[in-house]
Amino acid sequence: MTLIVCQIAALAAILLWYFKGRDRKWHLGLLALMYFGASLMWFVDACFDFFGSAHKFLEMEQYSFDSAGNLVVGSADLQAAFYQGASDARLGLLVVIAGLIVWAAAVLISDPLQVWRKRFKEKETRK
Amino acid sequence: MACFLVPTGEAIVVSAAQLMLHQREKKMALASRSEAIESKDAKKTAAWSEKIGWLNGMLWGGAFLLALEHIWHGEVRAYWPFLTAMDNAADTATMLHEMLTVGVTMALAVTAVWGVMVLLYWFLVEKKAGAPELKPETK
Repeated sequence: MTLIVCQIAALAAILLWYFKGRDRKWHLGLLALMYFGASLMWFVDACFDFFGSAHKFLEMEQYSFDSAGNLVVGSADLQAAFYQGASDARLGLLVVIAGLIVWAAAVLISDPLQVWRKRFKEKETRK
Repeated sequence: MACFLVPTGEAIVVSAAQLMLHQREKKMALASRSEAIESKDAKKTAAWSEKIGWLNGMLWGGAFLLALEHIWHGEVRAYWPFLTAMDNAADTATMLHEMLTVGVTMALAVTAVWGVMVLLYWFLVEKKAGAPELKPETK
């Protein structure tokens, strides 16, 4: 789930960079590279999980019923599977937000609209 | 467990290389100030330090976001030895094995994708702009 969320973020950032941000003013390339790099790393991790012991590349669950008639997802029950998926989704969102924070910091430092520079110059002229 | 440390190590080395290359390119540009450097065509293409910057962005960004995942899963903590896998020898051995397999493959995969990006950039942008060589500029 984290891999999927990160890949969606990477795709959105790449499209945004391609159509809107190729002038490098807003550092959309940095955002796209961050998410793309993370997606690649999680993809490798997922491949090792799949070819290792887990065999659950995209965590495709198999639904079945136990003897009492309760829905079972893979080897876990529905509730446990739901909480695991929700936890992974929350982690994915945290990763996306962390990437956005780093990107926002880079934009604020580079100051593309020259807000800080103007204020600094105004202060200097007042002195 | 600590697979993100391998891309982080590569990112440190690549950052140092980028800094050195950037300074060299700056010196070369100042020394020659040739028409090729000043021309619009030359400005359309990216310098090698910038291309290495793409690799840096992927490595630092990926390692940082992956480190967050490890913190989320309680595998990293704020005090020595920082990694919970270093509490006992068996876990440390598993961690080192994971770093050598998963971590190294992650670093190689990112580097390989960067190589493809550089090739594509050369083919789609630099070749059209008339940049003849696909190797770092040397004096």
